Amino acid sequence: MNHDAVLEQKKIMESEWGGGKAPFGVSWRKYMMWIFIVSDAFTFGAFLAAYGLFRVTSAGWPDTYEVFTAFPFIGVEAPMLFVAMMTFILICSSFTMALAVSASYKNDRTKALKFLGLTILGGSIFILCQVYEWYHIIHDGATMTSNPWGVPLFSATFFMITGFHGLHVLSGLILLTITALKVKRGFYERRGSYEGVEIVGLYWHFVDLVWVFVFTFFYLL
Amino acid sequence: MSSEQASLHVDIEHHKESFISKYIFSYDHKMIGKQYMITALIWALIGMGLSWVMRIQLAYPGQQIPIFETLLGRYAEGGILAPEYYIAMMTMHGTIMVFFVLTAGLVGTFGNFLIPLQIGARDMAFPLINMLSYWTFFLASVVMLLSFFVESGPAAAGWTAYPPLSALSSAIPGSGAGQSLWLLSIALFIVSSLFGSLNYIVTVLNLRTKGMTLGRMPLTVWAVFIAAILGLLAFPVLLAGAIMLLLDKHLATSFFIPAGLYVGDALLSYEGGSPILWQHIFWFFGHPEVYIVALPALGICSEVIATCARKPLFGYKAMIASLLAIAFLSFIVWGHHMFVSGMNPFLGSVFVLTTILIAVPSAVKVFNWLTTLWRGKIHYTPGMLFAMGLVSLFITGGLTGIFLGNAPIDIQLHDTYFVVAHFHFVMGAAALFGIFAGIYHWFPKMYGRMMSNMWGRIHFWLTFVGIYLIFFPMHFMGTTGVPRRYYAFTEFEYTMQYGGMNEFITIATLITGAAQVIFLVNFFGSMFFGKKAETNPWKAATLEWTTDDPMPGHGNWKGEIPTVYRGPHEYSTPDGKEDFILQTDSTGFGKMDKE
Amino acid sequence: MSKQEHSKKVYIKVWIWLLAITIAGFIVSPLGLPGWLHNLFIVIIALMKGGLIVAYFMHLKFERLSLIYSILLPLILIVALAVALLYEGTTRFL
Repeated sequence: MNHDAVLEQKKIMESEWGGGKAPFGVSWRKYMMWIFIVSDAFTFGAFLAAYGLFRVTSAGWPDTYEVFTAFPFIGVEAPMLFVAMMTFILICSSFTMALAVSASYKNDRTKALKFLGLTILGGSIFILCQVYEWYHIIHDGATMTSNPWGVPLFSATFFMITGFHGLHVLSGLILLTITALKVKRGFYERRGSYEGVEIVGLYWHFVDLVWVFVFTFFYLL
Repeated sequence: MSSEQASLHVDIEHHKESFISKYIFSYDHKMIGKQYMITALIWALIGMGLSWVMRIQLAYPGQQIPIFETLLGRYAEGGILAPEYYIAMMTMHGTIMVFFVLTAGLVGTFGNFLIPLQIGARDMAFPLINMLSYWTFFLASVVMLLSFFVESGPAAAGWTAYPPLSALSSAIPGSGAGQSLWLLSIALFIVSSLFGSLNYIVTVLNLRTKGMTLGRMPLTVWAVFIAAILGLLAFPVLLAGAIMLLLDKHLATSFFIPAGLYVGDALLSYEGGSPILWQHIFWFFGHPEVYIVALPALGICSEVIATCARKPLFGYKAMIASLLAIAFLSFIVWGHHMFVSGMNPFLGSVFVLTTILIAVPSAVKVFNWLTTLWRGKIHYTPGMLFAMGLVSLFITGGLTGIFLGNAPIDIQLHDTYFVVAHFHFVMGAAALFGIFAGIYHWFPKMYGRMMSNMWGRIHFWLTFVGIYLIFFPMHFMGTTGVPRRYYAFTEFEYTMQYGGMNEFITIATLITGAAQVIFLVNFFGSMFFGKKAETNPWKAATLEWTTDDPMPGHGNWKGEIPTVYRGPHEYSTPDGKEDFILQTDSTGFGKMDKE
Repeated sequence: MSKQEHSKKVYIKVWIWLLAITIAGFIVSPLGLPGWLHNLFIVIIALMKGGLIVAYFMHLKFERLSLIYSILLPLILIVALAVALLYEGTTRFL
C-alpha cells in the first residue's frame, strides 16, 4: 500500500470530520435544537414576509402608535409603553435563562433552579401581558376580519403573528417547567451533563429573539 | 466508537423486542424505512388508480363506464365521472404522488434504511423521533384518505391548492371539508418531514463511523442529506402558508382572497388579500420540494450505476458539488412557476436567469453518469436498468425544462399538456425509477432474499417504453395549446383532433399500470420465496454490505462498527484481489486503527 | 466550554446593552425623524439586539466557525423571499 494513503488515513482519523466525532464540537442533541431553530425561523420569516407584502400593498395601514396605547392601572394613554414593557420582561427572562445555564454548568442546583423559576415567572408575566393586550384590542373592536383603525389585514396579521409567537412562549414554558422538575430531581446530575438545560435555553432565547423582530416590524415600523 | 454510538448500543441491547415493538412501533431505522416503503407502495396503487380514472375519462368522454359507478359511487353516477370530481381526482393524484409516494418513498424509505447502514451507525441519532416521524406520516395518510369519504368529496384545487378556489368553502364542492382535511393532512406531513429531516441531518453529521469522512460517503447518503436540508428549510414556509389558508377558510380572514370577488351572483365581503402571495409561498416550498424528491433518486442512480458498471463514479466530487448547487439554486427559482401571474417582468427575468443556471449542474450529473458507463463492465441487473432509464428520463424532462424556464416560451406553454409531459418525465417518472432502482438494488439487504432478475427486466422494459408512450405525445398536444386540467376535449376543434391520441395514451397508461403487477408479485413473492441472498450480492464496496448477516438486526453490526479506509465506489481497482475493494478493507494500513 | 464564556459579568453587560438599545429604539420614534431614517434606525437596533442575543445568550459567538456558518447562511434564503415579496408588493396593488 502506498505510503501517502497511510498518511492520509492517519490525518483523517485525527481530524474532527474523520468520523466518530462531533464535527461542530456540539452533541447531536444541541445541534438538532439549532437546526430546529433555523427551521422555525423560516416559519416566522414567512409570516413576517407575508406581513411585509400586505403592509406595502394596502393603502391605509393603521398607525400602531395610535392603536396600542393602553396601559393597565394608569388611566392615561401611553402609546407603545406596554409593549415596550413586555419586550423588557422577555429580555429579562432571557437573561435569567442564561444565568440558569451558567449556574447549571457549575453544578449549582439551587441557583439553577432559582433562575429557571425566574425565567418561568418572566415568561408567564409575558403571556399574561399578551392576554391583556389581546383583550384590550378585541374590546376596541378588532377581530380577525375587521378592526376600527383601517384595513382588516392589520388585525388579522396581528392576531396570527402574535398568536403563533404566543404558542411558542407557551410551549417554552412547558419545556422549562419539565426541565426545572428534572433539575430538582437531580436527573441531570445523575446523567453527568446539564446539556438539557442549555438546549431548552436555546429554544427560550429563540422565542425572545423572534419577539424582538415581531416588536420591531409590527409595532415600531 | 464514539461515546454517542456507545450509549445507543447499550440502549439497543437492553431493548426487548415483542411483535409490536419489532414490526409496528419499531425504533429500528430499517423497519421504519420498510414501513415507509410499504405505505408508499399502497399509496402508489391508489394514485395510479386515480390516473386510470382520469385517462379513461379523457379518452372516452361522455361514455358510460359501469365500473366507475361501482368503484366511485356518487362521484360517477350512471358511470359518467362528474366534472367537479374529475378535478378532485386530479388533485388527489398530484398530492398523493408528490407527497405520499415520491417524498415518502424516497426520502422516507431510503433515508431511513440507508443512512445508518452506509455511514456506519447503529441507528438514527434519535430513534424515538424517527418512529414518531413515520406515525405522523401515517396519520397524515389516514386524514388524506378520509377526505375521499366526506360528503362534498376530496380537495379539488390542484396539488398546489391555489386560492381563492381553495380558500372559499363555497367555491366548488371540493373546497369545503375536503380542502380542510387536505390542509390538515399536509400540516401533519410537514411535521413528519421535520422530524425526519432533523434526524437525518444530525445523524449524518455526528454519527459517522471512524474514517468515514464526508468525502467518503456514498452519493445516496449525500443526496438524502441535502434533501433533508431542503426539507428543513422549505417545509416550514409551507406550514406558514397552510396556517394562513386555514385561517382564511375557517375564520374568514382574507390573506389570500382578493376584494370584489363573486361566487355565483353574490359579491363576497372580503376586503383585499393577495392570492399571488400564496403562489409565492407555495412555490418557495414547491420548487425545493421537487428536488427533495429528485435528489435522492439521482443519488441512488449514481450509486447503482457505479456499482453495476464496475467503475469508480466519474467525478465523485463534481457530483456532490452539483447536488449542492442544485439545492441552493432551488430556493431562488420559485418564480418560474408564476411567469403568467402578472409578475413584474424584471423579477421574472431574474427568475429566468437562476432557472436556466440549474441546467449547468444537471448537465454535469448527466455527463458524469454517461462517462461512468463509458467502457464499464456493465451488469444489467434490474436496478441498473432502472438507473439507466432514470438518466434517459432525466435528459428528456430536463430539456423541456429549459423550454419552460424561459419566460417568453413559458407564457405560450403554461398550463398546457407540455407542462404535464415535462414534470411527469423529470419529477414523476424519473423519481419513480429512482425508487424502483433502489428497491431492486437493496431488496437483498432489506429482506435477505433476491428478487427475480428476469421479471425485473420485463418490468423495466414495459415501464420504460410505457412511460415514453404515455408522456411523449403530450409534448405535441401542449405545443398546439391543448390545456391541462380539462375534463373533456369535446368543445373545441383544435383539441378534438387529438381524440385518437388521447385514446392511445389511455391504452398505454392501462398497459403500463397493469405491468406494475409484475413488480408487486415479484416484490411480495421474493420476500417469502426468493433465493436466499449472499452477504454482498452485487459485489458493492459500500458499508451496508459488510454486516454479518444479509439481513442485520437492530444495531446493524454484531461486533464493533468497522472502520473505513477508502472511498465508496472503488471498483476495477488494479491492486485488489477482486474487482472491488470494500470501504472497510484495511490491507496495507497495518494496525493503525487499533491505536 | 470554559468558565470565561459563562461568566456572569458578560451576561450582565449584555443585558444592560439590550435594555439600553431597547429604550433607544423606543424614544427615537417621537423625535420626528424622516421616515426612512427612523426605519433604518429601528431595523439596525433590531439587528443589534438579535445579534447580542444570538452571540452571547445563545453562545453562538463561542462555537466553531463551521457551526456558525451552518446556522446563519441558510437565513439568506428566507431574506430572499422577504425581499422578493416586498418588491412584488411595490409593483402590485391589492
